[in-house]
Amino acid sequence: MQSKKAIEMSFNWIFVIIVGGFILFLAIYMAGKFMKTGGTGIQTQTAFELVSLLNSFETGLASGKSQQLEFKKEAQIYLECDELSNKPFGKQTIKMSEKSFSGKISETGEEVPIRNLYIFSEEEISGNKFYIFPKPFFMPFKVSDLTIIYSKNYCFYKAPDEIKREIQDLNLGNIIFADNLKNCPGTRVCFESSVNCEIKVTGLCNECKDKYDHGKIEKDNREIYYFGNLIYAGIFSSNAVYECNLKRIMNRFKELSLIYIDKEKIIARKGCNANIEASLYGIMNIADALDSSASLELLYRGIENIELINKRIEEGCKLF
Amino acid sequence: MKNKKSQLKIQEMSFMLVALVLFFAIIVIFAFAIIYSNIQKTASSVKEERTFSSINVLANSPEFNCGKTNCIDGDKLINILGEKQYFNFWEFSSLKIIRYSAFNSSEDKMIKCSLDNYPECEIFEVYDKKIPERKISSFAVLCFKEQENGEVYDKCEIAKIIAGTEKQEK
Repeated sequence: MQSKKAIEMSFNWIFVIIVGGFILFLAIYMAGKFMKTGGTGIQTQTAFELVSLLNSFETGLASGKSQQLEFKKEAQIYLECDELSNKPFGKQTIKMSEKSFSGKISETGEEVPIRNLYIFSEEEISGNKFYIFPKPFFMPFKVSDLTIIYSKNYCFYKAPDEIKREIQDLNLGNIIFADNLKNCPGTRVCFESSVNCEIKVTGLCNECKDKYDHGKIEKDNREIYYFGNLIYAGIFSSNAVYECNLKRIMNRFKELSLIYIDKEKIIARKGCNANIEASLYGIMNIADALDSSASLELLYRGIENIELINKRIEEGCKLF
Repeated sequence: MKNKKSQLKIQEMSFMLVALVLFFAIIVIFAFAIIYSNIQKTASSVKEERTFSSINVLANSPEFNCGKTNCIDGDKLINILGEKQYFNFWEFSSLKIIRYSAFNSSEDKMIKCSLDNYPECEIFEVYDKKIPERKISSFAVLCFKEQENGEVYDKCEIAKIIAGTEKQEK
């Protein structure tokens, strides 16, 4: 008799524990899911808002203004670049996460695609403060804005006056200039050969107004080549992001060249004779064959030639 | 008797549990509905924000720019109308530029620009994905080459940029 009673009690308890436990587990699981979805949603929204902000950076012909982005908690920005998708322009994706109170990095938000911007930064940047500045890029007409994002501390060692002035005009944070490597904290960017530098910039243009008009940047045991404002893109971005965006820019350059070739035909109706088509096709072929920044010098020469042709065109008929 | 009593207890408990599960299910569905509608609202406003920030600087984009700030080059613009590669380049669902002369006309009565009738036309339809959208507009200067007395000059006027942003399905 006693034993039967014990079985009856035990069944009730087992039933309650199993079903109650299941409901409790479900509730905790759902709450966890909600929180995760909410966190991912917030990170995705932040990434979208960041892209909106970056969109507004499109400059005219002059350099735009810099912007400082501040987060309450330490944030991570992840950047990916793919020159082969979304043909012919390629695309980049950006996603974000932030550090929680416990110090753990939260779940990243969804990837936000960027098709009409060229963001130059490390593939993963973190911090509370991010600095953003745009620089227009010409070949010789404007091809795009180079949007540069960084958060690290940089020290520019023996920077030429032109670069010093441009950076100071942008009022950027986390960059100092030094003429002595002993007082040069952060990532050292050296403009004159020095051993203890993470980034080395060498000007290769001896016959130019400024020898840094085109040149090479050595970082992470690799060399990348630049001309014009690509110098800033090369300094602040990873080699992979730089090379990928360079190909995306070349693709946009080819499309823009076609627009200018068609424009030449349109303005010919008004009596203009620009005679630039053949040269533009020539440089488009060079851009098309470009497989890395190492071949940029040849392109640089071709661009100078196009600029000369455009300068010679009578005032009202200039193409750009 | 005892057996019947415990059966009744289990039955009572089962009813209670079913009611409890239903109650939680209703709460979860309700919470999902609220969260989903909030996500939709946020997605719409974020997309609109993105369109708004893009449209204000669109005239500075190299595909449009005439060499001055917020100025569209009509001679460039005419060459990108309907070009498929630009459909997914900007984040707009449609993009049109209306000349000043057509500001007071309805869109269906405007003369569409093409290489044949340019510049004697009123609306430049860059592309239209033909999806439900909300339209956002901005203004810019539109310039194109004109010839008078053998001299070529830039003729400029005000133009309206209309960009569509995809509407979230409800």
